[in-house]
Amino acid sequence: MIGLLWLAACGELQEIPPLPEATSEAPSPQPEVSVAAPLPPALLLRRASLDLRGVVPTLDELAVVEADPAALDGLVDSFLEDPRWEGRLADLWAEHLLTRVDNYLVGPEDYGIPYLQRHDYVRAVGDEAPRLMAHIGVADLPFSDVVTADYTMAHEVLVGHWPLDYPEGGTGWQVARYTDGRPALGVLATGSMWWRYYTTASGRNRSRAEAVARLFLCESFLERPIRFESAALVASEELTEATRTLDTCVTCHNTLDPLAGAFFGFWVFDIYDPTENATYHPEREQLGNYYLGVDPAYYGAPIDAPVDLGGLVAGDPRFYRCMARTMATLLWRRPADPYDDFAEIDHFVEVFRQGDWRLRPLVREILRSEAYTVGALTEGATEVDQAALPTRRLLPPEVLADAVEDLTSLRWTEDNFDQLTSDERGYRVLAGGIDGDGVTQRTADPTVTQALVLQRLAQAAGPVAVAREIGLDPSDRRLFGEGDLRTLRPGDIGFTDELVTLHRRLHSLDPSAEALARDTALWEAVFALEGAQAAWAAVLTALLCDPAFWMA
Amino acid sequence: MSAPAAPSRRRLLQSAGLAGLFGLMPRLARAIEGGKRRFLFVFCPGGWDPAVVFAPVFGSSHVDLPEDAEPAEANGISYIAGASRPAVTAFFDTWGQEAALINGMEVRSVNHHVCKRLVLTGSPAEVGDDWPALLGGVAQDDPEMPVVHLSGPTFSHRYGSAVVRLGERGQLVRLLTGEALSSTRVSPPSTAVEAALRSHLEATLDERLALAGSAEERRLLGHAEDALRRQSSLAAIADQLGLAVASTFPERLAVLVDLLAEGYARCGTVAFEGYLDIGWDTHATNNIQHHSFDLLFEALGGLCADLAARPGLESERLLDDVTIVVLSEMGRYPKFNGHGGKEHWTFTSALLIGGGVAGGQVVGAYSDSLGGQAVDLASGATVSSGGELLLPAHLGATLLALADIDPGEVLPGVSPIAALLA
Repeated sequence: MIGLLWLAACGELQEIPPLPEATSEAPSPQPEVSVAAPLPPALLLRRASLDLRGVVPTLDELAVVEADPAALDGLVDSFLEDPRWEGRLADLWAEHLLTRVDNYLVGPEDYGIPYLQRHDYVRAVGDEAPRLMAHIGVADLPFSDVVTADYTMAHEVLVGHWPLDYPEGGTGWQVARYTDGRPALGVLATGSMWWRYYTTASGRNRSRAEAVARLFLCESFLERPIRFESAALVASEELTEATRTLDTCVTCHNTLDPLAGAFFGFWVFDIYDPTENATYHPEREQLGNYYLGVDPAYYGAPIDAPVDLGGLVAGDPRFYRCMARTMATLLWRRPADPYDDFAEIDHFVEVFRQGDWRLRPLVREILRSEAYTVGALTEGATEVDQAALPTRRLLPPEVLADAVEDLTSLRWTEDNFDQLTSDERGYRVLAGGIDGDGVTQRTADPTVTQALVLQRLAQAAGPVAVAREIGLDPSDRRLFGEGDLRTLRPGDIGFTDELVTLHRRLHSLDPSAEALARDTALWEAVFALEGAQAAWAAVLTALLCDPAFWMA
Repeated sequence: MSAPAAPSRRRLLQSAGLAGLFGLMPRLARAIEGGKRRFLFVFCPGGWDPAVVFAPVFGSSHVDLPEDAEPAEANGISYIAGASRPAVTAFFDTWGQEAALINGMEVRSVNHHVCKRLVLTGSPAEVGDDWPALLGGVAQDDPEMPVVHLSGPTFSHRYGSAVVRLGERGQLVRLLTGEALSSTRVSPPSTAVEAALRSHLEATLDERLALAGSAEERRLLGHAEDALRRQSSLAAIADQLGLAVASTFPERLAVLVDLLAEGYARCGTVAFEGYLDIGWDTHATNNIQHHSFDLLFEALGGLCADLAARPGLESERLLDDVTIVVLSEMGRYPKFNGHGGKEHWTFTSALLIGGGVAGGQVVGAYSDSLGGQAVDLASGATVSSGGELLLPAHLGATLLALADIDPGEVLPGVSPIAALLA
């Protein structure tokens, strides 16, 4: 049973009220008079499809919802069973964990991994933790496994370099186990987490303790303003002594340091050593007391062995509330505020609990919420409403990459660096993404660089897709209908149908008469210059640049 | 279809009914003459050690100064000189009259990520705009790049569309020139096809704007139109931007100066990673900072000379148009640790140089244990009672004041350091 006891920050053991008993129905927050109008079903289908699968809906799915808007619920449920949901969920958790950075203290060259595998390597490291969280989510496992699992998710590029029992003959992401004796702590035992949140000789794992508090409990020590009485501090014999005795320090350190003490199995003496970093060190678990002068503890509860930490986090109600709030933030595309959204988060936590702490019911409920489904606001909407109810969202770069690949077969890479998910050799941040380090907020508004990245992506994807589809049997096409793209001309039967098909496929919308006229004019202008194939490519390029494609 | 004349960003926002854009932001006092000052931010990531240059706390047993530390004073600025840092002395001798030092600024954290936010936004909140985004976002002269970001931390939210990232490897230029497509084996469209695509997109955006169902959608589409307009302008200066792939710090400064001088940008941001690019986070071998400071001040001296030699857009010298802001996210603990390094410290310094700055002075001070001292904001003098401990918000308010933006509307209750305003 989860959460019998809660250990207060003051260190005294207290009995906490049990979580509410299950009720037949999770109470919904009482809405006030709403200023929000939901997206039309077709566009809500599109938003959910992009968020959960990273692709736009098929024409068949669109037709189903147009014929029966009530079918949307069933389709969204099917998206949550789609194999692509795991990748999208990993994207979302990566946005929270900020593990998807381009550089670690140990690089691929330290393992002799060739440069052309560099991008795979950094993603194999950075995505381990979000992949594990995603796996637990899609496998419908209790979310406590996030901090207690005795396995991880591993990528083949790390085989032979990290101590993993990666399945023989496997490729890509696979369930695997570490073979170095590390405790069963789920993401808290991943290389991914502790390479991203590394520590220094003087940091002594405190940055890791802070990461646990911030990422999994939504309570950051660092957001507490500190005031140093500097004279007293520098007069101390040693900083460690000060952290135990000075009032200004103990406020955080009496909790932070014992938590940090749980991570000394990950302690390395050379932060650049590839073997040291890849390996867990059970023999160093006791060093916490030596370096920090305290025994490991979780907000007052003793940690006798590091493996205890997972159970303590899993028994902490803050963990589940934090995960629910975080998932709302990620799907709403705006911060779920602990105060303004208190009632709604409460509701999500209850739904989460009623689902035995499995992710799917929680996600489903968030997707039903007003902040997710909103498509327009009434005239009476205030500035606060506008901030709380974002009616349109930009596609994140990783979704843009997946959606364009699904439609056109183009994956934009250079020397195997994915151009939309890398900054080292790509355009991730310029496209509005985050780099996990210097840029940790997505760009919420269109920018000149986002527009440029999109245009170049579209200019490559359009010709690639048309060249592919022009020779295909219509039944094998992803984009176009049944017309012969080589011979079809404006005015022919079927020409406009092809344009309509493209609009519906890319935008989930029927085009206006003006849009069709615009497309035809573009087709004719390019046809006169470069022929039919280029004309269709130009139209496709233009529709990919249309805000109706890159907003959802 | 001919392309319509490019609208100004302000006209575009107004015509799109985008009161919402500004409705969502603090109502800033914008239309003020003189609000054309430009800013160049130099960020030293990792946490510099004030006790190498800025904090002349001689005679204190609590503070470890460099072995070659000597008290020095030039043009009203007291600092720490040293044989290993000749460029520091050269800088204050030559440019001290144009520079003001802020000492004893308390960041109130010792974590890199949080401190960067605090120093650059005045708040630890995860969502917010940094000083360059604020200054560029309300630029009055509608530059093509309100903020040109070359490197270093950046935080933007409401003014995100104002920030133009060059990319540390010249990514923007590769996009502008079409070189970005080289790996796809697809050639960029011909000029004629590109023009046809652009016309299509402009007309599409017009239609989408006309049909937009919410203020939020209109706001986003307004930014999209603005981005399209800026794209053309940037393409015209791609060659100049191409220099941005320059790898050294002085070269990067030169790129930003060119963009500021031509009026293309209002704010430029660049990081200086110190000696051998190993950063300023010297938990071991703090003496590396001697070299880093020397290189920093050598570059700043060159920057000032360059700016002083160029005519300004608003003033005789470009140096009078541009305010240079040099800062780091935190300071370093007063004493060495066992590795010859220094830990994090919440008190730090900042340097303002050039336009609008009352130079030749130090505002604020360090105690003999490297704490901050309360300051009278009007005079800049330290006071034993009634003053304020300097915070990043005071720095931000001062920068906003230099840009003729009412600080009270962005940072309620925070006053600028009036003593720094010329």
